[in-house]
Amino acid sequence: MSSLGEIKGHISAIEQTRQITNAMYLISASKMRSTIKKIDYNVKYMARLRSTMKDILLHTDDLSGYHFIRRRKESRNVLIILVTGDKGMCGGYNLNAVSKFKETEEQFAGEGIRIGAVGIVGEEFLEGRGTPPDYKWRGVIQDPTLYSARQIAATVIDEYDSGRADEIYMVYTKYKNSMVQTADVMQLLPIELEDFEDVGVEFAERTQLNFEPSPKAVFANLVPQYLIALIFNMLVQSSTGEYAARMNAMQTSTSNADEMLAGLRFEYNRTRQLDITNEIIEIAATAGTVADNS
Amino acid sequence: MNTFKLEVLTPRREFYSGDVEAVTIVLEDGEMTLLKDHEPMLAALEIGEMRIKTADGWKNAFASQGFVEVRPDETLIFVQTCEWPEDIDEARAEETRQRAAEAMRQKLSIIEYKESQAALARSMMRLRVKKHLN
Repeated sequence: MSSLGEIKGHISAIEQTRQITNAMYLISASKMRSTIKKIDYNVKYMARLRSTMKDILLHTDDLSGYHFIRRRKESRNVLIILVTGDKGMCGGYNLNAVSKFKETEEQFAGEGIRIGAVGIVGEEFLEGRGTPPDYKWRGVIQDPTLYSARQIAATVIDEYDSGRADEIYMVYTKYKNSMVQTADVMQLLPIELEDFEDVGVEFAERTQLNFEPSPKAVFANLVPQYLIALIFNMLVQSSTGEYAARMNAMQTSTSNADEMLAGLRFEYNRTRQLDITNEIIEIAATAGTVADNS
Repeated sequence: MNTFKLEVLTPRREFYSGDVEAVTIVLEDGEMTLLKDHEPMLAALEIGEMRIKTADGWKNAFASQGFVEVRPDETLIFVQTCEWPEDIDEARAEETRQRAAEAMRQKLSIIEYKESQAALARSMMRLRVKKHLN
């Protein structure tokens, strides 16, 4: 049986931890509420953009001339961008993204792999295993902006244009709802019609699109715009997912702390009562001895 | 009235949705005004001033890069950012303009140079749209 002082110390330690987890829970809950407004619209926007993109790919005669939209080569160099949080304390969120990343990486075993990292956790994981990322974007994920999406898109396009990467993927966390977030991988470049199987076409019966001023000029603009919107969408989803995961993890921690505190308080009271009882027994025994002797 | 459905979407919000008489956009080779029953078309949008004509008259807005798809049923404009003149923060645009102009004078990588160039163009266009209002 531990002493009263020990239990007291234990209780105050847990109370402090509980305060931290509870504060983190409240912070992530309020942050999630603010990003959740963004995500609902953004997911709808993305669905429309992707169906338009599919529409365009379906209704363009000859896509062979556009290097953003071409078949896979046999030998390939890939760039994989890993999106994680800037900090931990969010349950399996970072771990899931990292294991999805490892899985993706295995698919390209034997090929040239280059890596980009959004978020400090992913960056540290990559450095820790001896493969530091070629690109890192820090402080982006907490509040994704179009500005950071533009920067990432510019790098992606540069890698692809220069031929350093033939295929570019992004590992991110897909946000379904506040309880369910799954790590997923999305092909950024090249853009292939097969990637659009999950979206319907809004407008099917049409012959040909006119391109103004020329197909080449349109695609040169369209693809970067599409990529920026796509990357922004994935950043927003990952960021909301992180807040949701942290909220759930911190809620669990707080209720665990509450449970432990209840147990400890019970033990504390029992020990205190035992001490008092022992003291009374001692006093009574002493009093008895004194009475006998007198 | 000869109107058609126009939707202007940005990653952050639905900027405009409704029936319009005409919309003027800026393409690579100049301005273009779309009316009802325009032939199906796909065009790349440059940073510029977008003008929307409804029954209440013309309304101007700042639009950054994007693309427009004209369909028989509606016209869709996807842009990165779109702002009404009253929403443009003049002081901030001016600050961005100066910062981008300064950044372009430094020795930069091609990516950074292009970024600054685009930021400069956006801020200058914002200021222009804002001044039209005043």
